[in-house]
Amino acid sequence: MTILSRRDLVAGAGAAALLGPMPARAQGANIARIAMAGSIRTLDPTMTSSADEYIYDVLVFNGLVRIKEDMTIAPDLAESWSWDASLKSCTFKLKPGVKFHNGREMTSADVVATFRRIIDPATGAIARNTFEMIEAIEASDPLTVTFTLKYPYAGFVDILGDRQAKIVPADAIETMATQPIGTGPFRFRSHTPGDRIVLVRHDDYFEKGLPKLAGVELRMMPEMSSRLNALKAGDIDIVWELNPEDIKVLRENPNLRVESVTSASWDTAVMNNTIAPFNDVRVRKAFHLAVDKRDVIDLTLFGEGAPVHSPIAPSSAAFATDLPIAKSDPAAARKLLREAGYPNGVKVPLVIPVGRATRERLGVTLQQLARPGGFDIEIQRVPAARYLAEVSGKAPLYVDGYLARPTLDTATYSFLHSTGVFNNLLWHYNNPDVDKTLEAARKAIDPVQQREHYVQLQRLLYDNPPGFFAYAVNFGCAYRSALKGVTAHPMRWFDLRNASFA
Amino acid sequence: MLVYAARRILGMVVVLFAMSAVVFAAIHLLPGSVAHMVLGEYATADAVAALELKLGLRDPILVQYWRWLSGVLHGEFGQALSIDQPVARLIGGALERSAVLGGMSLLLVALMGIALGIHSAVHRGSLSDRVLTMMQYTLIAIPEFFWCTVAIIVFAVWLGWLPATGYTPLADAGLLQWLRHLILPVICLSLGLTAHVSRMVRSSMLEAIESRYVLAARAKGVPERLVLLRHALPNAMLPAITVLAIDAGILIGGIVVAETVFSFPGLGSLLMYAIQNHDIPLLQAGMLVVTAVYSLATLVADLASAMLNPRIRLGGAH
Amino acid sequence: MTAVAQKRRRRHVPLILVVGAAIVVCMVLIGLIGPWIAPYDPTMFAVRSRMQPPSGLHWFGTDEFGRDVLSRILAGGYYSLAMGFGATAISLIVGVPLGLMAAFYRGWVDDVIMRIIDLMISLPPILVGLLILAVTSPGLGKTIVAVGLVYVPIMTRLTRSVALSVLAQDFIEAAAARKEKTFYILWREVLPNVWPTIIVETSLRITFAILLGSALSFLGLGPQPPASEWGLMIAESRPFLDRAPWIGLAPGLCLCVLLVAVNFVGEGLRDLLDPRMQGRGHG
Repeated sequence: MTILSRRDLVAGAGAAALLGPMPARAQGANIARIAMAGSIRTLDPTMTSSADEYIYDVLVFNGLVRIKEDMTIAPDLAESWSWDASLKSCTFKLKPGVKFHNGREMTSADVVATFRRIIDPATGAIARNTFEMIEAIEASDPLTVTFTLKYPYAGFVDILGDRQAKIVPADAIETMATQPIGTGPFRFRSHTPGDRIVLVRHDDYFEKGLPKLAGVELRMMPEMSSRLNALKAGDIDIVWELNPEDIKVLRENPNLRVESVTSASWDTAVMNNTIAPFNDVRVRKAFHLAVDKRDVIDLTLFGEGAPVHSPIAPSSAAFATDLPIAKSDPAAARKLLREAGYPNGVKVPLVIPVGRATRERLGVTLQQLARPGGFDIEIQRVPAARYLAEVSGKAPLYVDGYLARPTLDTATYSFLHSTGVFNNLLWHYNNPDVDKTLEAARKAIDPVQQREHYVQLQRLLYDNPPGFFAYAVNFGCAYRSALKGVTAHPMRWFDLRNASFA
Repeated sequence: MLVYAARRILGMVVVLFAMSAVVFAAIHLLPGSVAHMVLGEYATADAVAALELKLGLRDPILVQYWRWLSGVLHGEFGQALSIDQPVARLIGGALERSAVLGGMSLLLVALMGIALGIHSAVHRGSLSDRVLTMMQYTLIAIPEFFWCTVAIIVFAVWLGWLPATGYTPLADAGLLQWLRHLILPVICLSLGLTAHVSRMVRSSMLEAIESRYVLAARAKGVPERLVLLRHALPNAMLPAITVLAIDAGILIGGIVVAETVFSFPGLGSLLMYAIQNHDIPLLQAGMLVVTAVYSLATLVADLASAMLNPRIRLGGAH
Repeated sequence: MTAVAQKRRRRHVPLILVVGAAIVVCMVLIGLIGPWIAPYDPTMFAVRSRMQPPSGLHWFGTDEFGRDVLSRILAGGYYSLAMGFGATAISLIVGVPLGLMAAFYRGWVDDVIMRIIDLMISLPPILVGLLILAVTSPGLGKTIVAVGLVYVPIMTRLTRSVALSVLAQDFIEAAAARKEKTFYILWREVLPNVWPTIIVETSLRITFAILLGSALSFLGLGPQPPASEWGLMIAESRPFLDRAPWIGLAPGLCLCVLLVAVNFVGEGLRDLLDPRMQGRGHG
């Protein structure tokens, strides 16, 4: 063993003070550090609503089921489940011996409390909309929970893997926002707002041998360039939601592993179906003829995305591969506009949100690409805070986008059904055939049949588009090469149970 | 002088309240709500309503304003709406970082500006004076955000010497890292103002050099170096203080821009964030702080120039 | 009398005024005819030639959409000029009459006007601009108005203080004795004597109006894309600084040349008209 003199120690301490702490790796700590944008408002999973908070949710808590990276469902806190014949009642058997971070055993009472809170309007949870089909939740014994639904809903088990559907202890709900307690692989230790959240290994985690890491740190770094600098310097192990323009450059760095996976998050030019000019399906179709989605992806996303016809991503088995992506045909677009009664083309403002670089670029791209097709577009940038009041469901044409949702039904129904919540915040689309297809699809329990319905949905939307579904945007992540056992999740979170430093 | 200063400070308090009312009303006229920002894209109308109720945003404006005002009068700035943190802590941290940035810039401006100004005045008409004068005319007109952009390209991208953006706390990362993040913003903020200060110092120094008592001192045979140090310099210093106080005010505007470019987590970035997110308590407190600092700088400038020039009738003419 | 003072008495036209004026005239010409002499359509995309470095084909390179940077600069010069001259004109039109009124009527009129001015002046200009533009949605016209309003207090104060000294003079009393109308006295007797000071201030103010306007644009509160306002172009270039610095450097340099030239004109005019007013405020 080397013996250090006092002078060495002092010199070492001086250098450390000057240069800052050495990267944690050098100290042998087995801790993964994830860079975050910094929008952590609450630590209560039921109330979380930002992409940063969702990353945290998945590390500290468990749902009844989990969504795997290939978007299939696996049991999590639930051991098994069974439907009754009417598809209106689903009973879950919970895994025994699952411990919360405070050592107490998780029981059906916690599950009941969690979901009653989500669906209570007074809570104000945004997940309430996802779970609005829940009629009642009952626990028949400490490990059995039965959900009764208002209508048959085959995708119910799948949505239990969603971000906010995390089980919290019934007796600690009051303090969740500051002292969160979950069952997840990592335990909350501290939160320094604007700086970091420190999570440590949950030693009593119910999956034996997991997690492999000693802890996780979520570091707040609002600017992407500082996140990337920290990653290159080895101060950070994971940077997620890379800007599409950075992906190619980062791939050349030998110390990094870069992933860019198709995710079901999509951006769109919303067209208002109730006011001129987009109340005419011919004008909406003309826009699709004017703009080639492949060009849009090239220009806006530097190629890091895929064209879509609906919120259904090309990575989904239900994606309609036989539908063509229209090539730009300005003459055909103008002809269609003439038929719709716009011989001189249409002049329309396009609202884009301030400060979201990719969506701003999408706006400029569409403005330019649609011009030869007879669309004279004037761009208006509006702060995102004013969208709900001024823009959503009101402006004739605006750029917006939505984060991936866990199931095909949640991704489509409320956006496209004439009674859907988000339909009425977006395009006010009303197509009885689409309504019927969506209703049939949500009741279909056979996957093949269900796929048929969703392909049919995309065909209907191709012929009568509610707006311009521009693309599904890739989820780009960069990791230090030493970090193994983690891959980008299309839902934009990380499962770090198996992550470790090689 | 004291009475004048007291009256000005009283006036400042009135201005602060008037401004808080104007900002409050203006933000309320804006459509949109912080609740939507907090809840994100999947915000539904009932979730927004529930949150607005919880945050008290559904009360009449006057009730909300009174709640805010009485809080402030009790020294309570309340809770930010868009982040679950007390406003005082957010503003305090940001103010501290901005103050470091502004203080270092002002110090650099003072040192460089006074030194260059004296040099120009003493060597009036020399090549270096003419080069400096030309540079003053040029630097004064170039926007901070241009310097910021150039500095990032040269020192961060091409040379890779300094980080392009961001900030690391002193306690966290050590002195060197902390300084590395400050160097570029401080220099960018200082260039234009240094030109301004050096120019003013030069002209007041020239005036002093040409003044009767300096000529008299020279005539008495006092060595030139001593003449400058004892007689000219003290007389040139007061105008320099006036200019520095004016520039402290100008610096606040520059800091807003520089913090945006360098992603520096100071008061400027916080104000931009509050405006974008409709976070009224945060915006109100931030505006109060900035206005107070700016008004104080203006007051110091006015007092200094009043001391300098007794002909300015205090109180009467503004 | 010193040599410097003698030189000034002869009213030598300063060199910087000549140089500055020449550059400004060129810039104004470019601003006016720029869109027509641009080699390419400034909004035209070219996916295959994105972020090309400067070359014979594209003198200032191309941007992230493959648009020709030179053409965009030529088409965008107009905005900076419009903001500089437009905003200064607004500050004159509002500020000078206010200052004259305050000086002429004194009493409560003076008090009211000056209290409002105090309120406006107690905020940093960029924050006033930010607030005005936060309440309305941004656009070229609104930016011009916002910048103009920011500079109203300076014009009002200056006009008032100069007018006060003019009003104290004998010929004003003579005019009042002739029972001339208020408007006549202000317009024919006071204003011509206030004018030289205002002209100097105005010429210096234009620099800061362009500066503030482009800074607001840079923060996203000016003309909207795809407009190629120079401040906006610099802001939009930021994600690509490491790969294609020319996208931001080219408009930045043009903006600097314009600002320095306008400042030369202002400084030159000051030397010519009002040598005593050395080095007044900035910002």
